[in-house]
Amino acid sequence: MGGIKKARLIFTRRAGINALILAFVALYPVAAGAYRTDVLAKTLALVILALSVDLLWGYTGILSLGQAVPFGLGAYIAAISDNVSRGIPDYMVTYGITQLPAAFMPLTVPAVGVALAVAVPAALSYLIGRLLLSGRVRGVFVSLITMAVANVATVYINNAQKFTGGSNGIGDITRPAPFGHALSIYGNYYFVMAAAVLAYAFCYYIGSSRLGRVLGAIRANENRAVFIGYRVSDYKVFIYVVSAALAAIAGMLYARTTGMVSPAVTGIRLSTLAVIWVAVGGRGNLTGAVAGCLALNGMERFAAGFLGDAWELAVGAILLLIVFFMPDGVIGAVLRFRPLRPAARAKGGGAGG
Amino acid sequence: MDDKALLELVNVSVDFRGFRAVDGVSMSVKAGEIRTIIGPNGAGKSTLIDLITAKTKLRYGRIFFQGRDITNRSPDSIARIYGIGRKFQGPNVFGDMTVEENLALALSGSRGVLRNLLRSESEDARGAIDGILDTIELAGARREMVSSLSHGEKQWVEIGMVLAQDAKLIILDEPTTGMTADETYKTGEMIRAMSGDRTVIVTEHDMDFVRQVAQTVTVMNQGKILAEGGFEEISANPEVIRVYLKE
Repeated sequence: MGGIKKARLIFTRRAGINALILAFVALYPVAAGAYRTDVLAKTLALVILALSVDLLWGYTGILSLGQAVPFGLGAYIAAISDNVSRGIPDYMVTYGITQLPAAFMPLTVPAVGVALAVAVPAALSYLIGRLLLSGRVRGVFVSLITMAVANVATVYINNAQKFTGGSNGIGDITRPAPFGHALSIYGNYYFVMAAAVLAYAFCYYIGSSRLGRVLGAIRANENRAVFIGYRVSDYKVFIYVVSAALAAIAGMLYARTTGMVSPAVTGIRLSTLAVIWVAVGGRGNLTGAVAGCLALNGMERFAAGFLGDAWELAVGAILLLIVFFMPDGVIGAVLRFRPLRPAARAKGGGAGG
Repeated sequence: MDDKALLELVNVSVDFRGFRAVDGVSMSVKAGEIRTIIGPNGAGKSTLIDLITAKTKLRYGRIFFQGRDITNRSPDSIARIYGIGRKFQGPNVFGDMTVEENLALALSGSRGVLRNLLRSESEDARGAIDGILDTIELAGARREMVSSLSHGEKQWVEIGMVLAQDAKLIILDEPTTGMTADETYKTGEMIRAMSGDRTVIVTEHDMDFVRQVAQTVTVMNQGKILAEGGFEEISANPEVIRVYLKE
């Protein structure tokens, strides 16, 4: 089978799976009540985080174990912006703040809050990316450093109690208000869903552009890409920043859906979970990231009732099984699955592909 | 310095943990010529190429390309700005992409991030790829995955990539490794066809192949240049016969 025919088959299957997922997500609120709808809205925000991991890991081969850092920063800036737009938040008052510090003044304007919730994590990622991805640090060490950054972020947020609420986090966050007043649970659900669909389309566009092909080349054979004349670090930093901005948008939607944030949203645990969703679903095809995130979060809801903390062990077991038996993830395996027909075996052997 | 030289190495040396892999090599390659570098294993041929393409940092000496000092520029600038293309020893290609995609990636044009974000493959790019596919005799395999090709065909894909780069200087490190006699001959003809507008440096072991393509032959031994000259002259040189041709 030629490369093109195979690519077309994968394309059709992927479109089919996407349509099924989209139909399920779009109709879910009809059957589920308000509570479950709100829970799935939260998961849809995490889907955007999973997509950002796929851009970085699946497309480009950079495994970040700190993707919750831009996610958490986006969430915190959105939370603080929402709180301070209504005066000095209670938690700040508790720590003796009577006058809002000047640095927080811009956040009282909601639109500025949204812009900063994306711009600050993106700018921070640019700095980290320039240091981390310019060629001196490679492979697993990149992952380890991103993990350390995630830990630093959690500790910092824990300690900056005056401004972040410390380990209590920040509560009382209202739902997004794109049309002036806060959305209902259902309105917010479709708002987050629309954002996830747009994020998917955006990632899909990047993957199909010439840029996406260069990213694939870097993943497959970085050295070759360099000797063709690509300045690889520029590409890596670019996708690192774009991925951070996407994670920040996810964090912002997450904060405004759940109504509260805590230091855990910047931590290693969420960063690792996001990578596991993508690994289980299958990386590099976006659909795997979406399906992995939805399935594992859905199973967690379902299993947490009787498994309790043992659920985390179950996730570990699932991950190991997938890595051993389906290295391309569940969706990757479905997309590449080819039934062995006797006729095709008899004549197709030599053509390969 | 020779004005007509495209590439000029001046007293180039490098050592690895005290072992001098390339030792005071000075060499000048004229525009449009095919230069063959031969020598026994470990003579320093590949290391010399690593130095020219900045894969390995130069410790001593200087390298000039078109009169400009390119000593220790970054490998991507060497390829992008100066137009020096390199084929590695043993095929070094993008295996899980099609032949066409491999060539499209190498195709000259913008290497910038934002330009590539907004760009898809253009019509003239398609024309250029068609031409290269004919040259490397893989027109029928343009949509095959490179990983499914034979060893020799992969080597041709990589030669095609260097052509797609539109390099002024093409460096081929043992391009015929693992090829059948027939494929080796075809490769020789490809190299002859691509020289002229371009300059080619090729390292090789196969003496029939060297006879086929060579204009000037440089013989290396133990990191140094042992002899340089036409093929007949080189093959009659008693020193060369002693260290290399006899084995």
